[in-house]
Amino acid sequence: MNQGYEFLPHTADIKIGVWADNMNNLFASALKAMADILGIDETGQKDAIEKDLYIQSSDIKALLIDFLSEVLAQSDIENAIFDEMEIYQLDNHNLKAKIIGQKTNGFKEDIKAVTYHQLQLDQKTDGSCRATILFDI
Amino acid sequence: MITRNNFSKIKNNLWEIPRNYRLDMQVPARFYASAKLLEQILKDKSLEQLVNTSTLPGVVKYTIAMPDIHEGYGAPIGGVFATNLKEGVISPGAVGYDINCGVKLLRSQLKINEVKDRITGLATSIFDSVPSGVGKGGKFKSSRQEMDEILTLGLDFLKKKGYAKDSDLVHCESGGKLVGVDPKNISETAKSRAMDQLGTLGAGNHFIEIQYVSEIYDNDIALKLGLDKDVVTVMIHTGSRGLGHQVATDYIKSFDRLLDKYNIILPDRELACVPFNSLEGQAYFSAMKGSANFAWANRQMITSLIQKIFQEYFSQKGELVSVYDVAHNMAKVEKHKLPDETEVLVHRKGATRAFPRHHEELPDDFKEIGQPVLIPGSMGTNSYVLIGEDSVMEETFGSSCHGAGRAMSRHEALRKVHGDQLRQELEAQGIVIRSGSLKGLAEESPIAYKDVNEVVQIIEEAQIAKKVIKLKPLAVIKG
Repeated sequence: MNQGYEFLPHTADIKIGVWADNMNNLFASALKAMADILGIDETGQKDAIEKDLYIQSSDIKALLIDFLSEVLAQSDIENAIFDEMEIYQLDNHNLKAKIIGQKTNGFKEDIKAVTYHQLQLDQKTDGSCRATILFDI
Repeated sequence: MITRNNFSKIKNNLWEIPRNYRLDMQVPARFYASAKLLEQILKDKSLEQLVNTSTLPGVVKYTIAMPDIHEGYGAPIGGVFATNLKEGVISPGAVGYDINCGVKLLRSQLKINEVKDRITGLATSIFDSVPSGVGKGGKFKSSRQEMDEILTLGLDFLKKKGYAKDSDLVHCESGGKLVGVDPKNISETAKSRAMDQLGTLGAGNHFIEIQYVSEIYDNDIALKLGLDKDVVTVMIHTGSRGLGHQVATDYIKSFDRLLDKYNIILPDRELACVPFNSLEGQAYFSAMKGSANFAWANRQMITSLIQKIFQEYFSQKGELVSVYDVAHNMAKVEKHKLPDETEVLVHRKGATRAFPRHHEELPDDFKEIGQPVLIPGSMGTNSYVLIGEDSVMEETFGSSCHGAGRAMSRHEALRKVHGDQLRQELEAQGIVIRSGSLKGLAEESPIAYKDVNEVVQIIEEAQIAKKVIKLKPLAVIKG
């Protein structure tokens, strides 16, 4: 399965490139990238936590950003880092999903927001897609 | 990409991109820079972002960038512009995600020689007492009722609770309270994020520094501010934490969907805006003011924690007095002299209000001198207190720079600097470092920033604000 993420240069903030063979996996990859920035505890010894999300947005690009924003808010409220998800529904305007993660004592990075700035999301005819996302730190 | 051919010189260190540079511009875009800073500024997209703000509906006169400008999201950091109140817009992205991120300066009655030997213990006590880093809650857990009071009352609430004195309120921009806040305009998610964040520093570029007055440029004003040579001060740099971030996120999302309704065409989605006079515009303005009140309360709560430690160490002489508290991410309705209007909405993002003497909004004891402008330098370098000059209203809508401004990415800084090595270098200079993260330390390395001395020099030469004192750090406390 061809999916992943990379960190791209940016003066003040964190910019990532995310790619996957389909849109569902792209959302999952973006979630993993954000968990990496927040600093997930790889030992897996913390309590697990799950949350159901339903997000509506004006288009698929906004949906990706709004999804990550909602996960970020939940991370802050629950003191948890979410790195896995199960998608029940994903179209251009709606996302129904369960996010799965673990509690944490703190975060590695203080993400102020997931921004629309320099946002790119392109999908090829074979379904594969790539996005660029900027996090305000 | 904007190049040197696209702008002309207005006067020394002041440049203008004319209105005809791009068809969608409503007003010219001006920026302050020396030859050296210009080179750094042209490396990123900050000037394009400045031009983008010149396209916003109702923008007046010209948009302005301070010498510490760098690329942000939507509007550049270090950007200032004003919109008219009738058809003009309000843009959350031009205020920033950290609403009322700002700086508070406190002075003690101690001189450096009385503190020097105890600085390590003092820094450790502050680091242990003020929660810093990300995801670390504070000791003060607000109830829902209390949260609404903080949002509507700002520093008045802290005074009521015994965490602030009258002088803290007087020596704070807007008295630490913006009126007209309806907590209903702030989402439950935003409030939930803030419940345990009052009195917490956060991470990133936020810090507490123990400093001393190392140089005096204007003796009279320095004395009026109580900032004599060698006086020990404390500087706090933080903002509205998760609350402001969530308010910005919520309203940028909602305004993004309203662009068609209001027929607004934008060059960048992050500038999402609505007419200031619309219901939605007023809802954001109310939520922004609530977040600003929270930020002032946050800096004051941290003050009260530090105050306790100073008094434990130095008893009465450790009493800390507020010099001033200024916001550098905010939108405010202000009076300015313009051909067609008397009041405009001034957006400042990474820029500080810098009102001149005799301004009606200043407290009595600043009426004759002007408003103190607090400019933190990059970590381990030096900070400044400036004072608004008479020409600042005309030049920059009463605004000044806010710091050194980033010149290098966090990533690049991490490649070039090792946190432990940097700590050793700073400690060799006699600066105590207490930081929760070596990575965070490296990211905030002074080499990643512009030269604050040069930024301030340009501000002074442009007669925006003049230097009063320089502050040097004794200890840096950060997340």
